[in-house]
Amino acid sequence: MKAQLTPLALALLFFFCHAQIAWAEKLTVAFSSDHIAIGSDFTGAELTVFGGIERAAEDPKRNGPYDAIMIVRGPQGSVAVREKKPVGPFWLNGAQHRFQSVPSFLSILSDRPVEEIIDQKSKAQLSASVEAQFAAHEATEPESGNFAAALIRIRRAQGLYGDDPDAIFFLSSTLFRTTIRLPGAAPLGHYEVEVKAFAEGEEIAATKTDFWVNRSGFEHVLATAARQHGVAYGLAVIAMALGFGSIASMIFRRD
Amino acid sequence: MQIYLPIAGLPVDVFTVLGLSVAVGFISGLFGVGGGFLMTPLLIFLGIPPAVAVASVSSQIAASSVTGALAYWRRRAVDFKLGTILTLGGIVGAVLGVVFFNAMQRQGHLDAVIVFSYIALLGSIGGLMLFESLKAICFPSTKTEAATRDRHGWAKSLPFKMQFHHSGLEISTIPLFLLAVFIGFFGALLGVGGGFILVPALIYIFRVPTAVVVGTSLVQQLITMVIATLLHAATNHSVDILLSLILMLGATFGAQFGARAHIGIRPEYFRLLLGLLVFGVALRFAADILIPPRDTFSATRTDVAR
Repeated sequence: MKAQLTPLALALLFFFCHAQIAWAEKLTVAFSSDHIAIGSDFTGAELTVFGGIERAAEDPKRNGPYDAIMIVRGPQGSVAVREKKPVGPFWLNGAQHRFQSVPSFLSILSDRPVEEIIDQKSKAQLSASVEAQFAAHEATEPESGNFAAALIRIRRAQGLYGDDPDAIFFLSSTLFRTTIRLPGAAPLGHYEVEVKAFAEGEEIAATKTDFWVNRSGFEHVLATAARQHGVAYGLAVIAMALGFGSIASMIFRRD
Repeated sequence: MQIYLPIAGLPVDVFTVLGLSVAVGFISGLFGVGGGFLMTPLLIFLGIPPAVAVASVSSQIAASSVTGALAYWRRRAVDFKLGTILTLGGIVGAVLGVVFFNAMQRQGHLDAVIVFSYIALLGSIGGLMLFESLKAICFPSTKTEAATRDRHGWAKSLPFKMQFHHSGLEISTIPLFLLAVFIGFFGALLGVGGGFILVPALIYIFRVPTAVVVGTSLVQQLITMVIATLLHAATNHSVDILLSLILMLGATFGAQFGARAHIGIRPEYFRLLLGLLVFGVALRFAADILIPPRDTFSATRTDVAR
């Protein structure tokens, strides 16, 4: 815990110092909801986010328009990526790589391509692409490259990873709106949202917020019961099976 | 209409799953088999995690077996003494099956084990059925009855013999018990009732009268699947109650229509069809590992499911 706190404290310190020097504008974001409940009709969700860049009179005049980048990260989790190899006539799982802590959901939204907002170097520093989020893994474990690329490809296809350079709409020069799209198989847990505002390629303001994805009442009760009261849950399923079978037997009795 | 399955953790189309279970129920009623060997694979091919498919289908087989077992019980077509031996073996097998299931799940090999077991089990049983029925069709003169008549001699010569008055048999309990253990094991591991193995085995190997075979095997299947459901729910928490409910709804009703439908064909053609069905499922699984995959990579979450 302590080891994690130190960089956090440093970051906070840096945040405040930096804010005093160069960051004039203030960034505020608001969600349509900070809690997404997965009910029996859940097939995905859209979360609308509004953001505003507040300018005070003494703020420096900006020549260009404002830009915004938003990074949404789902709960971190471990994942095993396996590669199938031909063994005789069969295609079997061969080599595998375990990623201990990768976001289960990752979405990078911006108002125009990130390269146009900031230069390549800042883009890498900001990890403002799905691939960049895996750069750290590749640095420590060079052999993970293929597996990381495969994981990204698979999760992109599932709608879990993605970047959309047209997702943020500026309603006025300082007010913007965007939509976070969660697929039906969205992982449960705590989602972190990082929003940054730019002007003339420089970061001028940043903020962080979060939301939760949880099962709704009934689904939550079922899932908790299955996990914590396995025997009782099992007996309930069996009672249901026996009841169902008996009822069908009575309805369809032929003799 | 999409519905979110809380344990599987993904939305499925209710009507797809319901239609599937009605179809499988119909086929199971038609052929007098449980249908688990079709239902579990179809759910897996639909994208439901194999562990959830296996565990949830177990409960559906239990529901279907109740209906069948009650019907045979009313007709006094159940040998309870034989059923007790088979059930005891089935319970032992189901416990072993779930222990093996959990061990494989921990090591991340469960999906592969399920696929390979399906290929081996359904491939061999389906192949035998095809071979046997084709032989009967092509050489109608060779009476399989006469050939198998002496074969049950060994079951008589083993120790721990028991009298089964209802079936009019006196055979050793050891091979019966081992057969039931085998069926219980694969039943719990693969989400199949095992009727398609137990029924022919009792008829051809143990010479149990056909009149009591189906009823007795349904009783064994019912209790084995109840135990398997309970063990799955208690240890790996993979039973999805909503999925079970949809499957039970579809399959119990489908089975009733299947049982009433008559196809006027000779028994050997009937067995040929069933053999084709069983062998077909094995081939479908084999295709998964024989055909070069479009994407050689796959990703599986290894932390708590979802």
